[in-house]
Amino acid sequence: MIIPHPYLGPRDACEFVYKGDAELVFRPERVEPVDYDAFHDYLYLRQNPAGIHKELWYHEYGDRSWLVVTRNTQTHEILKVEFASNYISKQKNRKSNV
Amino acid sequence: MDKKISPTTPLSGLHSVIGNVTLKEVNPEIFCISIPKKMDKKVTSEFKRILKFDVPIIGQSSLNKNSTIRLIKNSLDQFFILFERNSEVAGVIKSLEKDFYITEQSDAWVGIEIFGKSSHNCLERICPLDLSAESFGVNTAVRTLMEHLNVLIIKTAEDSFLLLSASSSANSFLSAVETSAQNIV
Repeated sequence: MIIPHPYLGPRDACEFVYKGDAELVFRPERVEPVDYDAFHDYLYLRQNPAGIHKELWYHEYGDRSWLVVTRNTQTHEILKVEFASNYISKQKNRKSNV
Repeated sequence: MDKKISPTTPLSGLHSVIGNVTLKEVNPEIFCISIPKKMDKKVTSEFKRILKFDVPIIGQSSLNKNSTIRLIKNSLDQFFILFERNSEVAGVIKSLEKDFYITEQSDAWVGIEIFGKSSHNCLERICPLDLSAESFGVNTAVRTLMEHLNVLIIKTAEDSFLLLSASSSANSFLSAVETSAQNIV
């Protein structure tokens, strides 16, 4: 599988490490009283869709960047690759505008 | 009995020729430069002021006028600077460390210069990158994997590459490159 890095261009997937569902970047705030249900969901519940999925990938054998890869898990087609920092800001802006 | 202890390099000064491929150990002085958040927007101008040559984009490197200092942009907030001459290190690093985080890394790396007519053929067997001239021009500098080892590969001329890998696994890395060179003889 080839992952098109936003800066470095097409790179072999062997340079990357898969780090899981991209939703992992949104860890619940730990404030008293602790919302244990929210942490349970964060730790254990995943959508695991057959189709379009947003994933966290770490470019360990490259520039050490964290990427969010939008991938079709059925065809392995990669639809979008963006830096995790950009993805987080965009999602936060979207949530604050709702 | 007097025993003299003298320092050596990770590959003890390797110089070997395998077919049309020449392998030579090189030992540049290597420093990592990390960019503090507050310097984000001043990096290019500060580097230009101190180094007096162009700052590369990610995945590229640039050289000073005498080709003795090479600046590599590894990622958004990290550069490597390689010195061929030890005498140039102190002045440059003293200026850089005023505004940037500097780590001396020379001992952590082993450098192998690979050149010759078949150097490209030798590398394409172990390097997952597209090394063709169209996508990997002179002064391209990127990190990747060869066998299972982390490598920084820099194209220094048309048939010449500088490979930097961890000094702790220097002989394993050399074995990977040598085996590939032997396989194309």
